[in-house]
Amino acid sequence: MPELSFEEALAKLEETVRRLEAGNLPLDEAVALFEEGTRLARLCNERLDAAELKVSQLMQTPGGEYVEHELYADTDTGDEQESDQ
Amino acid sequence: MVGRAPHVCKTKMFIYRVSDITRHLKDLLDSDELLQDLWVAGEVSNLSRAPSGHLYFTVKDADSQLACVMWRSQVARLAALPKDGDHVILHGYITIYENRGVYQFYADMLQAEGIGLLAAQFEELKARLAAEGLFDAAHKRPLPALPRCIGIVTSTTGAVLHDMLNILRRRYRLARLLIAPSAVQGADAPRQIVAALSALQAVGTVDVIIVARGGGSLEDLWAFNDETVARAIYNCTVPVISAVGHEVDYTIADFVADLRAPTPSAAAELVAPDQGELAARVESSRRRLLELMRAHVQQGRSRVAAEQRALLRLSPRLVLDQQRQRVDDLWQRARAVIGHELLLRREHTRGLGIHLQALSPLAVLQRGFAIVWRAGGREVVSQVQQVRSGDALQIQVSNGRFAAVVGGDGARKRNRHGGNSEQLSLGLDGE
Repeated sequence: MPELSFEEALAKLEETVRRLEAGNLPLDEAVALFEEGTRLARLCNERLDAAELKVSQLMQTPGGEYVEHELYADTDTGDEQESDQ
Repeated sequence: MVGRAPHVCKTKMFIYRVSDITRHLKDLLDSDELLQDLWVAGEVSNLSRAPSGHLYFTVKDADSQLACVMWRSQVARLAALPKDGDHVILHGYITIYENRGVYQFYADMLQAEGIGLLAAQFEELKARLAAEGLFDAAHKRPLPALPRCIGIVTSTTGAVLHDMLNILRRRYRLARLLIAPSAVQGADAPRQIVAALSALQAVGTVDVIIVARGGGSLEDLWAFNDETVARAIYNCTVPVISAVGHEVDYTIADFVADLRAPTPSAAAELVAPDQGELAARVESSRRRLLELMRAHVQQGRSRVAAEQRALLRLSPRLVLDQQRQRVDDLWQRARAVIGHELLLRREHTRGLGIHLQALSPLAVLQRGFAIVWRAGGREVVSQVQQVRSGDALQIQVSNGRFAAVVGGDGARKRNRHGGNSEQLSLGLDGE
C-alpha cells in the first residue's frame, strides 16, 4: 500500500488500534498489527508534514465546458481584487 | 358572436347560462400568470373571522378595493391576526367564487407592510419551502470528516475567498480546493450560483461545497433567497455549507444547506478539522498501540508463568520430594517416640542405680565399717572361727585395703566382745 492518503492511513491506523483492542489475538498477529500500526502512524505524520494546500479554479471555455486551472500560492487568489468588498 | 344584434340573426343567437359565463371568466382569470402569483399591498377593512376559522376581509387603497379570503390553514401560520386599518402586504392568487359570481383574492400570506416587500417574499418562500420539507433535519447530511476536495462557490473579487484560503492553508492543507467563481449579487447571480454548483458536482471528486458571500445589505444578499438557488442547494449531490453575510444574516440558502456557517471564515474552519488535532489523533493512536502491545506481551508472560507453575506442580520431582519429606516426617516421629521411651528407661535405670547404691556394702564402709578378707581376697571373715592367730588378713575400708595379721587365739576369744586383742580391735575401732 504505497500510495495511501492521510485519511486512508488514519482510518487504517484507528482500525488497527481497534483490532488490537478487541484482543484475543495470537501473539504473532498482534505483533504484525503493532508493526503495521506503527508504520501507519509514521506515514500519517509524514503526510501531515508534507501536506500543501492545492488551489484550482474552474474556468469556463468558450464552448461552455469547465476546465480546472491551478492557482499558485497566495498571490494567485485574486491579487487585483483584494481592495473591494 | 355574442356581440351581434339579436334581431339581425335570430336563428344563430346563443344564450348562455349564468354559470357558463362565470366558468368562462374563471378560466380566463385562472390562466393569467400575474393573477396566479400576486403580491398586493393595501389597508385591511371589514375583517371578519368565520366560525370555521377562515378569514374574510377587504383590502383597499384610496381608489379601489379587493375582496379577500384566507383559509384557516394559512391563518394558523400568521404570527398575529390583522385588524381593520392595518396596512399589509398579501401574497396569493385571484379567482372567481362561482356561487356568488364575484372575484376574490385568496391570500396565502399576510405581512405588516412596514416589514417591506423583500422580507414578505422571504417569509413566503421560507414558509413554502418549509412546508415542502426542504429544511427538514432528516435531509441534512453530515460533512465528510476529512474532505479531500472542497468546492467553493463565491466571487473571486473580494477578501472573502482570500480569508478562506488563508484559514485553510493554516489549518488544513490536506485538501484540494476547487473554486467555482460566481457573481454573488445582482440579477444574474442566482443563475451563476446554480451553474457553479452544478459545475462542481460534475467534477465528481468534490466531496463538500461551501457557498460563500461576505456581508452586505438585505438586497446584496438577495441572490441567496432565490428559490432556484435554494432548490439547487437542496438537490446538490454533496453536502453544502452556506456562509452568507454576517452572523446575524439568515438567508433561505442557510435554511436549506446541510450546515449554516455564521461567516465565510467560520465555514473554512467548520469544513475540516485542524491539522494539529489530526496530529494529536495520530499520536494518541500510536501511544495506544504501544500500550496495547505492552499489555499483550505482559499478558503472555503471566500466562506462561502460570503454566510453568502448573507444570511444576505436576512434576515427578515434586512427587519424589514429597515422598522424601514423608520419609523424613516418619523418621522424625519415630525418633520422637523412641527418644521418649529411652528417656523413660534411663530415668528408671537411674532410679534403680540410686536404690542399688543405697544397698551397696561400699556405702556401709563409708560409715566406718570394714570388711575383713582372708589373705588372697576370696573369703570374707564373718565368724571368729574362721581365723587363727597369725593368719594374714586383708582389711577393706572405704577407700582401699591394707594387710593385717590375726594376733592371739582368735577362736578362744571369739565370744568376748570388747576383748583387748589389739590387731582385732584395730579393725573394729571406731564402732
